[in-house]
Amino acid sequence: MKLDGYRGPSFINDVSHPVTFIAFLIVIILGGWVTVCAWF
Amino acid sequence: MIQRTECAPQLPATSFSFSILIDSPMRRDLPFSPVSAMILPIASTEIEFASMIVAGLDVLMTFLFKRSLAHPPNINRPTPDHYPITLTLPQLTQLMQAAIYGQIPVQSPAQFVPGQGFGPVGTDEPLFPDNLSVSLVVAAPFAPFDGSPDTSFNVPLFEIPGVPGNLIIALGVIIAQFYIERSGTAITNGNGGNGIATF
Repeated sequence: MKLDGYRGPSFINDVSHPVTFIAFLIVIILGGWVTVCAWF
Repeated sequence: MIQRTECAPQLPATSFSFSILIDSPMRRDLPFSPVSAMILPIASTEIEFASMIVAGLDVLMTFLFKRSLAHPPNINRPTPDHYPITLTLPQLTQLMQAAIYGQIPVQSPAQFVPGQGFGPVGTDEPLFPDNLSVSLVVAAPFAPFDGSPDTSFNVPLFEIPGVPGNLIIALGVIIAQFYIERSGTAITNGNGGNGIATF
């Protein structure tokens, strides 16, 4: 069944934006520290 | 004599958690849409002033965007149907002549698609054009008691428009509930009781 206007799933990368990448690095550092504190 | 420092209350340590957020639909050009989310917690620890970390992140990101150091991602992304069309004068003349002779193509009414319903205002939404986005979340409440206001900071990782996100999240939640119920981790103290917490 072909849907009108449906072109299938696509992938949008949001981390590639510079500010989002800065936030991603900060959150990864915080999350890594929390993970190390919680698991080890 | 009682020293003032002895009476000072200890700073409450709140839980600072790190999770993966899978939600649908997020950042779709829909005026109203129900949103469902699944949170996969990774780790949490107890630190003081955890909510201030989230506040600091908010302030930093707002500073970066508001000071025009960067444009927000996907700002003003209109759908192709909403693009304004600018005609030149010859094109406008040609359009008017075509209108005089009745040659303007009229948009045909919505065609019936098998398997797709037809509502009072047009065809139903197809099943698949939902959205599924994955984010990283750090969250921290303001105080350690139950019912405290909570705050979180999300970093979008990626999104996949065109997949049935609500159905995927519903299926994931059902599978997670099934495994938790079958593994017995939802039972308090692991004593096989009736699930009522005992303090």
